Amino acid sequence: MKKSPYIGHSCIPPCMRTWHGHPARGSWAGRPCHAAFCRSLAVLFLLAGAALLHAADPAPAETAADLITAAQRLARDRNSDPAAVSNAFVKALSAADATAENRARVLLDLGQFYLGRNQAAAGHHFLEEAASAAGAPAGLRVQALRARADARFRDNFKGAFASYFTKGIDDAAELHRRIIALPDVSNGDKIAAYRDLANCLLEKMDIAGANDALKKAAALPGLTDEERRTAIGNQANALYRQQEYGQALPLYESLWRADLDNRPRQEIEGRIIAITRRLKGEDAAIALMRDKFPADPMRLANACRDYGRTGEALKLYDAILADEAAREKPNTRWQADVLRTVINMMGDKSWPEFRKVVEPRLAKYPDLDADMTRHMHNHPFVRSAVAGNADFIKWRGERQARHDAAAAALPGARPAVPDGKQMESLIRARDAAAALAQCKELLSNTNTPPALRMSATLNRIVIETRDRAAEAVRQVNAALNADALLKTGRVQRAEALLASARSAMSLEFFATARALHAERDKMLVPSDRPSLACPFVARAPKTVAEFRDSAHFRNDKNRARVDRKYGDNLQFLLETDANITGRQVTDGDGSLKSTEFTALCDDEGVAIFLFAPTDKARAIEAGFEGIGGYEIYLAAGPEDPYDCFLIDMPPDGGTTIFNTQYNNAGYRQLDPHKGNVSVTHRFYDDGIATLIRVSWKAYFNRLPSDGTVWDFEVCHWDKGGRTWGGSKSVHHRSSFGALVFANLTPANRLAIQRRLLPAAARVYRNALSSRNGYMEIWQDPELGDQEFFHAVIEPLQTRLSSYLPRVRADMSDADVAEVFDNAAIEWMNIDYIVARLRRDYLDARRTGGR
Amino acid sequence: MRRFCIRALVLAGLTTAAQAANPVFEAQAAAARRLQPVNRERVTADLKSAGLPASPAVWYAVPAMSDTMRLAWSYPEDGRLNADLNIVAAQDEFEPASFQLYSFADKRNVTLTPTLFKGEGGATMPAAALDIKVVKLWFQNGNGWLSYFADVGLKLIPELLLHDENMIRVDMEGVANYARLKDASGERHVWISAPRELHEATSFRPVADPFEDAKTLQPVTLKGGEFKQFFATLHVPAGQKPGIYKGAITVAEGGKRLFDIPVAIRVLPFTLPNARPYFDLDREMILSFMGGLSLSRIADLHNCDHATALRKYDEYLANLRNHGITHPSGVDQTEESLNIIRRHGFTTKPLIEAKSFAPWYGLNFGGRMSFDQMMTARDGARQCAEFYQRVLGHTDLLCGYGDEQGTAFVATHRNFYKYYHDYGIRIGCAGHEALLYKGGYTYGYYPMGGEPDAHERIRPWNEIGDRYVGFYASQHTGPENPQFFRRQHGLLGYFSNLSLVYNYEFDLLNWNDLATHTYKPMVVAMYNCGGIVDTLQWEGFREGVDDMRYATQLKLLARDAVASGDTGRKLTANKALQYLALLNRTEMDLEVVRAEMIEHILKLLALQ
Repeated sequence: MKKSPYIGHSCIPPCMRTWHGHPARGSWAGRPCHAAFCRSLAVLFLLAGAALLHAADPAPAETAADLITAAQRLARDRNSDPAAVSNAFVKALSAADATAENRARVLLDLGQFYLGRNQAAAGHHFLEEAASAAGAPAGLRVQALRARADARFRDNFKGAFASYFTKGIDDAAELHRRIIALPDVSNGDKIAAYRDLANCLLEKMDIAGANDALKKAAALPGLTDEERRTAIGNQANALYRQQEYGQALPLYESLWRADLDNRPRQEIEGRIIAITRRLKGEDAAIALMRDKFPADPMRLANACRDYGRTGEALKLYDAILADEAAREKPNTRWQADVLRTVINMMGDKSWPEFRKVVEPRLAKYPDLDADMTRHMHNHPFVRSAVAGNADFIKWRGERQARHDAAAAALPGARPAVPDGKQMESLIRARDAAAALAQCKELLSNTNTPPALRMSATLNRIVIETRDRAAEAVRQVNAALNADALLKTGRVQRAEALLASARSAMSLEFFATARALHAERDKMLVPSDRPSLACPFVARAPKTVAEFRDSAHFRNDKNRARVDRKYGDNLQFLLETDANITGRQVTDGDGSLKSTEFTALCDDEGVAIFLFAPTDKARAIEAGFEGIGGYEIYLAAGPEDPYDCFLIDMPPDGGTTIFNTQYNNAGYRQLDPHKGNVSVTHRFYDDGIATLIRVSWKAYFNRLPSDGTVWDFEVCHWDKGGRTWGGSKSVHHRSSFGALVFANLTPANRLAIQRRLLPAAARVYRNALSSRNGYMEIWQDPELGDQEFFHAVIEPLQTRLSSYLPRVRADMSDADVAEVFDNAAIEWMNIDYIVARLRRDYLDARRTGGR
Repeated sequence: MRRFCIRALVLAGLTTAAQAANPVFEAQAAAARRLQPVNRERVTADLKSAGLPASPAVWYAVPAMSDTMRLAWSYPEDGRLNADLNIVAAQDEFEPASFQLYSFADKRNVTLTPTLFKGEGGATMPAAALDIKVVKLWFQNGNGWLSYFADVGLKLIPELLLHDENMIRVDMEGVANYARLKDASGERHVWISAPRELHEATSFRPVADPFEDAKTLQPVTLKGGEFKQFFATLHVPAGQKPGIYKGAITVAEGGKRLFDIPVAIRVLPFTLPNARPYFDLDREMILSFMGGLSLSRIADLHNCDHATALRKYDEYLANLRNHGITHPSGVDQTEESLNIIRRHGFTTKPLIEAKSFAPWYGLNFGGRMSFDQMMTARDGARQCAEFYQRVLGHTDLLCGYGDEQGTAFVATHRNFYKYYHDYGIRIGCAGHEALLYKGGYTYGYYPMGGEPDAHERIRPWNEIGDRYVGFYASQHTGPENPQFFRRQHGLLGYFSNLSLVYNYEFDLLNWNDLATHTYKPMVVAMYNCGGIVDTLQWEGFREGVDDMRYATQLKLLARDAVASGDTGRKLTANKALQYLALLNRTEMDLEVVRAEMIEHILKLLALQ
């Protein structure tokens, strides 16, 4: 056995030591043995300054500050090569005038750079070096430690099972404690560190610890007024987050001053309002906004809107608009924002309500009308309730048309390019007349793009032909043929036909919709229903090996190929090579041989033998490789329940069967545990063979004759999914192929019946058994009903039991036919027959007065 | 004439194309052509063998619940020629009967009118107690009746229960369903079985458009040589005197009586209790679906004022209540709506689909909840408890959080569920084993994605204890087979120790079976301008629920008998329990199980 050259060392080959000034070119992740390497690398980095100076000689004129700035710029560029960034920092480090602070700055930047590039180990390493660099200023050390802490903190939220551990949070807390303990750290930094430490403690649900930390920050000696406010703000915020609103409120109130800058003031007000709403309700919050914090009328209006006080909100919005309009130079952008807010608020009201509110306001601010009209045709407004209203669509369309005309009339104005949305909306709203007018307008507009022009043409045809389907199809085809792309581009033509059909559908021209849809369907490659004979074969092969070697399977005519692509992608439905039985399916890089199958029946049942060719068969058998399984559907006729086989390949796969009905007199579930179906596999050098055997026991009352068709489909989830019938999705009943029974001569049918008789007799004998037999039980004086037994069951039992002795290994063909016809089906269904008799008996007895 | 010929040719071409796309219906049409003459001979022979005179029309009493698709050309193998309709029902129970009419020649304007039902000692039951509807055959996708998967082809199946069979026009030539829209301006028909890519462009609005059923049975047309199924649902009035009642359904053509179908009703001497889990008689099962309509949704759909919406919602809820739903889903979590469902007699303790007030954190692939998220969840729990305590007076609530989530999601979120535990509120999620592996100890209810008899997936939850366990998805709603629906939502799950019936989903609005991709529209009943339109599977659901209510009645009586100390009663009770215990749950004939349960109940009552 060849010994690994790395045994006793790192499990990963050491990275190339070719020095490009880039200490972390490869990923640092997954290098368990490299902690020491990191340390030594950094030491090397600092101690070998002279060598590095030679490796990257700075130009004499470049100062350390310049070089740092240049490196920082490079680091900010997400596309820059890490090696180049690294080299730039190294260059700065080796500048002649580099101070201790410069060196620490370089290490800090380098650390942050690596963190940003998801190279955490390198990042933390350099940050730690920066934090402990000799001569580094306290602020820089704090920055380095905080960067580390933030990164570790964030790490604790990554990964699917990040809730399992708190190591990142613990590390972050420790780093914040280090910041607090650093000498010469400013109070501001300490307050921030206490805040961050508290945050870590909160994440660990240590609320008391968090509050204690924040309290310490507020009690730091020598705080300025601003610092004290910050510390108190931190306490208030923490209490707010803890939902200790009663405690947070007085702190916020103590922080509020009218002369604060807008942003901090609004933040404090926001918290006070939110707490007031929670503690005292909406009215109190609104009163507060109105009376104590009146500087933000939009906030008040939005709050009224959010609390469902639409009328109040409207008045406030109107007042805001009026105030703005009264200014010498109104801010139209601001007005537009307010008006848009009003329109959005009304979007989920009824059309009359919407119109009543919006129309007069648009009239009042005509300069904003065009902008608002556009807004009402775009996301997210189009998702509002009113946007689907036919009257709204028409109203908006008319406004849009007016604005477009006005814009076009402006001297030198570039005419608007129509987008056709109004036409589509009118069609969806079933307004044929207005839609037709829109089509004509689009067609007369010289700025209408060609694609939209074609769409308008086709819609015009659909509307003008007024559900005369043949005429519509003729004109649509003519229009498509007049267009070079649509004449030959199959996908585009199919899509254009479908779009026309959809327009017809919306407008309720159903004959036209169907005809245009059918015209499109004609373009798809016809997928004829595949068919395979399922002949009765005397002395048929029984095992996988016998099948593989059988003359039946070797005969090409008996084999079907699973070679139609699964799915309903339009492109391949239009492509002939994917759908015709080309017998050779390709999949990108080479030819693939199709999975094949054959079917036959014998006296035991139906056998389906599949062979999936693959040169990986042995590797699959050994479990090193895998192959997609089969999904197979089988139904004993078009109206019969189907059973779905989900067959996963060995060595790990098994077979489950999804049945679509429970057992009853007419149907038996296929179930491996009930012994009426089996699935076996065998591996060969060139592929995997699978044999499915279905017993006639499941079909005793539906034995096929010559020409009987059973529905059948095979999907092989390999090579992107291939099918026999052409399924577009799973359980695609209309794509099932046909298994056509043959050679079911009277003698062969008799052979099947002969084989079934012992099984049927067993079922019947079970009913006669004292072990909860459903016929026997009625004789039981304690658990049965002897009156019922004598009146109903006994005669049936006498008749059916009389056939039992005739079921013998040497029974004649005549006996087989007679017993099968007169008893076997009733034997198989005996429980259901007795149940029905019992039900009728009890019903009659109860409704007859007993 | 020439124009007519061209149109006919075009139509013929379309029909051929339509049929080629509908192989299942093509096979059905061939079967119809083959079987109609055969059926004529079989019915004639049946008359003869029953010693009955030749008749222009006959009826076959058939089981109302059956796996059999009763199509126009399907001879009723399980039918009884010209037999009485026998109905056995408890007080205040809805119980169906069914029959198929067969006419040798076309008959128009055929009416079916129930008579007064007369009992012993002058007791009566009004004719209106028997609601007769036509079982409408219409086109559904090729998997119709059998599974919840989509298909592009159509086939005919029985599904809708209509008073007016013309509410839907079925175009056999074009293979299409049309909805009849009828108002003062007249009638028009809208194509509602278009392929998905066309359906997406439909402007049909089943609720806002004037599309509705009649309030009572309208005259029907019998096509010569075809069977037509009817569904007669008896609602025994509450407090109806027990005993036997006799009456009939008079069948007439153009006002001229053809024959009477005798109806015999046995009213049982008890009212059914709400269903309780097989293994736990001390609490009630939750019987519901995911999905359904709310007051606000109904207002949107009908585009109506609040008063009208309230009336429509009342009608909707009454239908749900009468079909065995105990906990309507999709209810707006407002004081108004919660009071409405209480007024209708639904159970609101526990309340399902309560609003958790917890935000959706979007941590679908796991992670770690932050302190702020935990606090928001805690606040959500508080708000949730306060709201329901105020409105309902309790916090016995089932709140959903997530859907079919994996282990990472559960591990990430499960810690916040404790805030809900503090109030006794249960958080639940539908899905698979991941929920058990990482959250079995904390989830309070669990719709399990699997079959209702997936014992090994149900067992661990019940062993952990004190939670509601249901099934969904195997199968989803959608298959129209009422007996299948009855079994899955009834005794199969009941005997598998489920305590929750909560399949996905109660869609009512998708009238086009080709409208969806991958899955069939998961409808149970339908909804239009007139309200709920009943279906066979919806009746199957009711029967499934009633099966469980009978079983509950039996088990309650047995418990009393066992506790009575009377050996005779105890052994009689144990025989009943032995009967239930030995049932083959997937194969049992549900009709006979019902009949035997009644037999055991009557025996136990007689011993009280």
